[in-house]
Amino acid sequence: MEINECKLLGPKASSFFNNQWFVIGGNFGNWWLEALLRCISITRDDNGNPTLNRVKVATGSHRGFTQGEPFINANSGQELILYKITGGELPSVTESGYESLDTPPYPVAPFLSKCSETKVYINQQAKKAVVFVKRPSERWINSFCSVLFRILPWRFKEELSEADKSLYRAYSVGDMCKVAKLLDDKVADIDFDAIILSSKLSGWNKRIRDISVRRLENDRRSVENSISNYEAEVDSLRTRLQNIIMQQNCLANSAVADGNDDELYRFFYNHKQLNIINTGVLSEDITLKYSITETLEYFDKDQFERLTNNRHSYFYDFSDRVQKFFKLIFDDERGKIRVESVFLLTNLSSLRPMSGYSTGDSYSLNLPNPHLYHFACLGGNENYIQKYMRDGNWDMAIEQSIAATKNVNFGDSAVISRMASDISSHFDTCSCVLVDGVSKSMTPQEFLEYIEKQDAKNESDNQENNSAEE
Amino acid sequence: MIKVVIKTNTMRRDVTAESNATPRAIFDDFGVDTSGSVVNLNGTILSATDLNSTFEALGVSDGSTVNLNSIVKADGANN
Repeated sequence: MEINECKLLGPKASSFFNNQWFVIGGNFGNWWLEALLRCISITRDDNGNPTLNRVKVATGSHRGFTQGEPFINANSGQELILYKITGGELPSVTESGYESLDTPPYPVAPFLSKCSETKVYINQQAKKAVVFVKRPSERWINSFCSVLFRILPWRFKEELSEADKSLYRAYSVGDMCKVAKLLDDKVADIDFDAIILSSKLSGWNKRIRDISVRRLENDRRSVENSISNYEAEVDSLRTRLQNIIMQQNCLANSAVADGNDDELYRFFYNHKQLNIINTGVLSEDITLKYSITETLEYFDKDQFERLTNNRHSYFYDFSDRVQKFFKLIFDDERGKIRVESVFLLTNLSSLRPMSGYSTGDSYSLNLPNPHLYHFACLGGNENYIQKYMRDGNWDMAIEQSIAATKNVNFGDSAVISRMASDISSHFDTCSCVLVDGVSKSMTPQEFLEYIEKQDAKNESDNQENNSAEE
Repeated sequence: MIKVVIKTNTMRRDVTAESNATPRAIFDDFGVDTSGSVVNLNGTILSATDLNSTFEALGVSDGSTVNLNSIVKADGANN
C-alpha cells in the first residue's frame, strides 16, 4: 500500500486535522509516525463518535545541554517532546515527577537504543513525555512507533486490543503494508467528510441562528412597543370617550336640561351660604365658580377628646392660646368658626374644590376650610359628589360641597396643623368666630377675652345667688 | 298643599304633601334614614326639633315647592 492510499494521511483526514502536521517537515518527519499520531489523536465519546484530542508534539534538534529541563521548559505546553541531539551526551531529566523508561518492566530506552542511543522520560501526572535520540532513522522511528503506547500510556487502555497489538507488532517488524491496513481499519467507520461538513454547517447554522435570534428579538420588541403605544392610545381614547359620555349624560339628566336657568337660580337664591364668584367659558367648557361660607360643625367630638387626652399628640405642638381656643370651640362648643371654600362647577357635570383660591373675606372674616383650601381634599365627600354628578344631580353635588366645607377631620394631623397655623397667624385679625346671642363676629383673641369675662360674670352671679340663698 | 322634592344620596323623588306635614314624616314615608346625615330645607339646616316641626311652622307657604335634602356627613380626609 502506498502512503497516499492510507486514509489517515489523505486530504480529507488532513482537513479533519486542520491541515496541520504533527511531525512532517521536522527532524522526525515520517509519514507512518504522522499516521500513528493522527490515529491516537482521535478519541471516541461514550457513543463512539470521533472527536479530535490532538497530541501536542514538539520536535527539534540541539546540542550542548546535558540537562533535560531546558527542553521541558521551552516546550511547556507540549505532550510529546522529541529532540535529536547532535553532539555530546544525551541530556538527563532529574525534575520531580519524571521517570526514565530504561529499566524493566518497560525498558523502552534500551529497546530504542538498539537503533540509536535514546533516553525516554515520562511524567504520568503531568501527561508529558520527553525523548532524546542521537539519530532518528526510519528504523528507529518504526521502533519508536511500536512502543508509543508505553511512552504515552495515559492515551491508551491498560490492556491493548488484539488489533492494537498487531498494529504495534507490525511497526516493530517494519511491515508497513500491514500498518497501513490496520490503521485504516481503526478509522474505517469515520467519515471525515461528514464530520467536517457537519462542523462547518453547525458553526454556520449557529451564527445564522444567533443573528436571526437577535434580529427577531429586535423585531419582537419593536412590535411589542407598537402594541403598547396603540394600547395606551386606545386607553386614552376610551377615557376621553367615557368623559364625553359622562358629561353628555350629566347634561342630559341635569335639572336645567330644558334650557332655562330657573332651577339653578332658585337653588343659589335659596342657599344663602353660596355666592357665585363668576361664570365663564374655559376652553369649550361652561364654568361656574362659587364660594361657600359656612361654620365648622361637622367634626368628631370624641376624636377631638382623644386628641386632647393624649399628651403626646400633635395637639400639644400648638401654642397655649390656640390649644385653649380649640378646646372652647370643639370641646365646650361655646362658639363656631366661620369658614369658606371655593368650588368650580363645569358643564353641570364636574365639581371640584379650588385649592389656594379664596374670596376677599379670607383671613379677615373667614378662615379657609383647611382640607379644601390647602389640600383640595374632599375625603369621603368625593365619592358622593362624583356619583351625584354622574346621575345629573348637580344640586345634591353642591349640597355635598357645602357639607364638605362644614367638616373638619381631627384624624388628619397635617390638615389640623395647617388650620392651627392659620388661626395662630390671624389670632388678632380674623373675625371668624360666631357666638350664639352675640351679633358681632369676633377674632379668636376677642373670643378668649369674651369667654373669660363671661366666666367671671357667671362666677360672680353664682356667688351672689349663693349669698342670697344663705 | 306643597310640593316637596326629596333628595338623598340614593333617591330623588317629588311628593305632594300637606303643609302641616313634617320633614320627619316625609322621610319616614320613603324609608329614608337620616342618621349620619344633615338635613336641610332649601339649604337651611334643620335641627332635630325642626325635623318634627310642620312645613308651615318652618315658613313654607301653601302652594310652594321646597327641596328637602339629606346630605351625608363624610370625613374631610381619607383615613
